[in-house]
Amino acid sequence: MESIHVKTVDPIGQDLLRGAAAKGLDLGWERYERLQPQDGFLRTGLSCAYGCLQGPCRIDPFGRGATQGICGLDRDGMVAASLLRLCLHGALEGLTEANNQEPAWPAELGPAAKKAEKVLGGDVSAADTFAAAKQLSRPGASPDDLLRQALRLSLLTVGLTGEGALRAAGRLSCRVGYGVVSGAGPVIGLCGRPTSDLVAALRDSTGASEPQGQIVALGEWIVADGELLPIACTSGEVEAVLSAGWLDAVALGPDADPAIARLCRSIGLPVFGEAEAAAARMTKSANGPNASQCAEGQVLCSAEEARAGLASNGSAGLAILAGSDAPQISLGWLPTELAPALRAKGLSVAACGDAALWVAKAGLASLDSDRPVSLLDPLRGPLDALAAAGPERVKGICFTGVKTSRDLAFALGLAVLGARVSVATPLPLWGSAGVRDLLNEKIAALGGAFAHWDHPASPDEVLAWFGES
Amino acid sequence: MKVIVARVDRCTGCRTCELYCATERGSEGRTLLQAVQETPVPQPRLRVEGGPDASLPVQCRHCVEAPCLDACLTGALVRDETHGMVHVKEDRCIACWTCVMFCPYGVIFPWPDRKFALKCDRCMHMETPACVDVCPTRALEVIDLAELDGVSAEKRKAAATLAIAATDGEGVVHLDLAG
Repeated sequence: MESIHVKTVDPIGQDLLRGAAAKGLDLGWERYERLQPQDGFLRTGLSCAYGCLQGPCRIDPFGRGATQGICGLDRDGMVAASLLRLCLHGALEGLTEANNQEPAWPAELGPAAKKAEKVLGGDVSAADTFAAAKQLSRPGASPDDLLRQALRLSLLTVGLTGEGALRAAGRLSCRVGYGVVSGAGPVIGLCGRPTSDLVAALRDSTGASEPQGQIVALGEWIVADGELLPIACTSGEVEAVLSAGWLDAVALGPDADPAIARLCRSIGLPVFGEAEAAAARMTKSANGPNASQCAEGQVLCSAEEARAGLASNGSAGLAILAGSDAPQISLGWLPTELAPALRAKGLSVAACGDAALWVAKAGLASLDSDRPVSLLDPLRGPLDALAAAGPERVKGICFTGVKTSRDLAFALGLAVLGARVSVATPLPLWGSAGVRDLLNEKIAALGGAFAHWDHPASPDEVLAWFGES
Repeated sequence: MKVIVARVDRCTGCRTCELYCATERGSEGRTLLQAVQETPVPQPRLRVEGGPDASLPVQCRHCVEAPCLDACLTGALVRDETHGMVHVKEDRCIACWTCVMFCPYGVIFPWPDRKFALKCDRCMHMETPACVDVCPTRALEVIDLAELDGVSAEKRKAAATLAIAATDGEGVVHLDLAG
């Protein structure tokens, strides 16, 4: 059955997927479908997360098989430990990238952070990662303690966002869409969070070519020489764009998925590292898409800009769309449906991450449009917006998908700071009603709310959730 | 008649078949994450048996001469004329568990919470049985009964060839019963 129309809402993206299928290329969608159903025990959080080699232990969610691990751990302990482990990963990712390992929150959220620290057992610091690792070494801690530690780590993750992903001040213009790939000169795609040295070497190489080439980001937000590089697609569309044959070469950073390099090899697309980039002679061989398939917007890079850009303007409140593409939900479906619907309800809308790229691609962030969607730093944007507008004015922050543990810990951390947060894709918490209730209680005690669904949420459901505030 | 066959050499004992059988055939929500929240908890119609050395999903064989059919007091167990599968008419089952006792393979399970006997009907009204669809190692397959006879004959032939080779062509294994 033709199912491409449910993979992405972008009609050109659908054509790219059809083209890839015609070429016999295996993209993420095929891998995703081949993996169905994904492990049921892990999906419910009932696969033991402890660093213990007696197992692996799993608990039967239907209660007929094992009800405890070898050590006697029950389902509540297993699900709580699973969440703690994810938050630990998220916090560690934040720590490895932070310039300053002392957490800091915007001044406006200082009281909320202090309150959370007090309720959760004292000041939060990098040492919390060691405490969590110790708790995860043997299953002695109660679910209550595990959840408390998970929330402390989520608060830490938020406090470690530092200058954000863009590390820029002021406002940056951004161009988004397949059309940025067009041009007379050679076009090099960047993905996998390339190093600044690699980006600089490529800029030199493309600048020296005749006609002058350009580099474009694939699903990434990259600032070079004070400018945001044009972004060709969202993170979920990278393979489809590569398969189109629009690019002349690709440069991969250390975080590139293995599938990207494999795909480039299979279609004969040159892949550059730092050394090759400096010496590369760029030539134009590929034909790009129509240059008009591109939209523009402006990114509010700092808390100050967010404060100025998100002034109330008579709106009924602010709704924030964040998060990354997820294969469980048609790419772009939630951001492109929700942003206009939320505006129609009188709310201002801000977006970051892949959600921002989708609304920008749809022209909803264009400064020429009526009440454009504000684009925010992909890492700390929601935090800036929360600080600028205040938890009372922010009607909700919806993560349309979470890709990394850091995204999940960040989302939880915002709830700990008193925000209403939702995640539209299922989380591994459904194996224990007790843990879900306990998590809700703890976050509610801090003035926040954390919603998630036992299925990929539809725009109607998320819209109803925004309306509940 | 098509039946489900299990390949012990491919089964890793992951119990994915159990999870999704219970979800697809025993729950209202039909998704795992909704099924785990239901009361009474959904139950699978097949069970993974075995230990660390070998595991195997077992489910109803739909015997040609099915003892459960004769044992059923109320006519709740019937054979579907189209598909040839033995299945339970849940509204007729009085939960006496006679069929459970008579089944020679132990693959009919009592479900006291819902007051009926639970057994595999090979998801006969679905394109592919849920367990076959979800098995990550393809240890479960649907094949035609006639084809199964052929596969079994091949297996017997292969086993006999090995046995003959192992006994220097004699084909007779001498057992030392005296120890």
